[in-house]
Amino acid sequence: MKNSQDKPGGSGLQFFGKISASLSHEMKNALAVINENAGLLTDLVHMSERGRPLDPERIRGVGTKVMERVKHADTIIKNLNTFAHTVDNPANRIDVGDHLELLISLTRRICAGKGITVTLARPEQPVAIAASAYSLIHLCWCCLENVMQWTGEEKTVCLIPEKTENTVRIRFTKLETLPPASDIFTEEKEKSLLSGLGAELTVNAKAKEVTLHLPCQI
Amino acid sequence: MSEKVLLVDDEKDFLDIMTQRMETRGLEVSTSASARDAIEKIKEKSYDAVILDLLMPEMDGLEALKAIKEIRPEVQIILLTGHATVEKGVEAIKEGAMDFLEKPADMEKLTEKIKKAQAKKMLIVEKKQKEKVDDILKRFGF
Repeated sequence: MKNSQDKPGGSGLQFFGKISASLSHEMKNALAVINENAGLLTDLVHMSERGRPLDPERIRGVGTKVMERVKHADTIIKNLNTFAHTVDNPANRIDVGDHLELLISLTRRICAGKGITVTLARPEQPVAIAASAYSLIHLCWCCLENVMQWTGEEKTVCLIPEKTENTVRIRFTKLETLPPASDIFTEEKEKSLLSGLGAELTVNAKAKEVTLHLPCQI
Repeated sequence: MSEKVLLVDDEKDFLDIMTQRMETRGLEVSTSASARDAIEKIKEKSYDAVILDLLMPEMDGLEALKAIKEIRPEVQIILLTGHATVEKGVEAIKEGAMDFLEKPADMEKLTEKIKKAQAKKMLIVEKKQKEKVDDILKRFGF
């Protein structure tokens, strides 16, 4: 793996921690709702023992809520598991669209916290890259986290992966007034991750988008 | 007199279910899905207790706690969070929170704390009123 930032204690591990913390918080919320629904069932039983008839619709509603939350929690766990396995292989041939989709799911709560919605426009043909899935997701997050400050009124960022002749590029679109490309990353660890992977950032101020250019193998 | 509670959490399902459970315990419950909305509600109406989530978009629970205490210092605030850390707990108590609990909270304990919050708030309000009356009496030479 080319990424020197992925040493323990480096920014790679910080990213892993940030995502894990966010997902565990989401899990805790799901469990809290399930717990309160179980509590409500107990409340309803107590009330029925005191003579208030049980309302089947209310009980059905509780069941539906619990099932919804279990499904949501299951998705969170699946995403967390997939994310954990992204460090397994230093360089695999992977689908960029799939990994951007995973990134969007993993960071939905963090982005929503900033009032931002992130979407993905998948191309008809899959865009493949030989890369460490973890490094790819990490670098894309660095871009996304930074460009979120330049969203327009829509508060949306749309990610578009594309294949060019010799490179793969990811366009971060629907942005507003943008700084020069050199000012997109402000932290040294981000710049070092970018150069370590042989990637490059460009800004198209007219199109209001930032593009991440990646070699076909990183 | 039933206790007036404002529940603040960005999880709508959590607000719904907590409202149902609290209402069966005789509490008068209002809800807000954001700290900003809660602050607007608190400007308009006084509650006995505010149950505040710590991690919320835009404005977190600690910021909201400070803002609420500035508007209505007498309102008792209980922070309820997914991940309670000692540091956050200490900070919350320093900023005037009545308590700091971790989700899932025991409903009976939470109800008990809300009842205590009402008693505490009433004491503060009565003390303030007495100070006001004493001040008026003093100004008129009594």
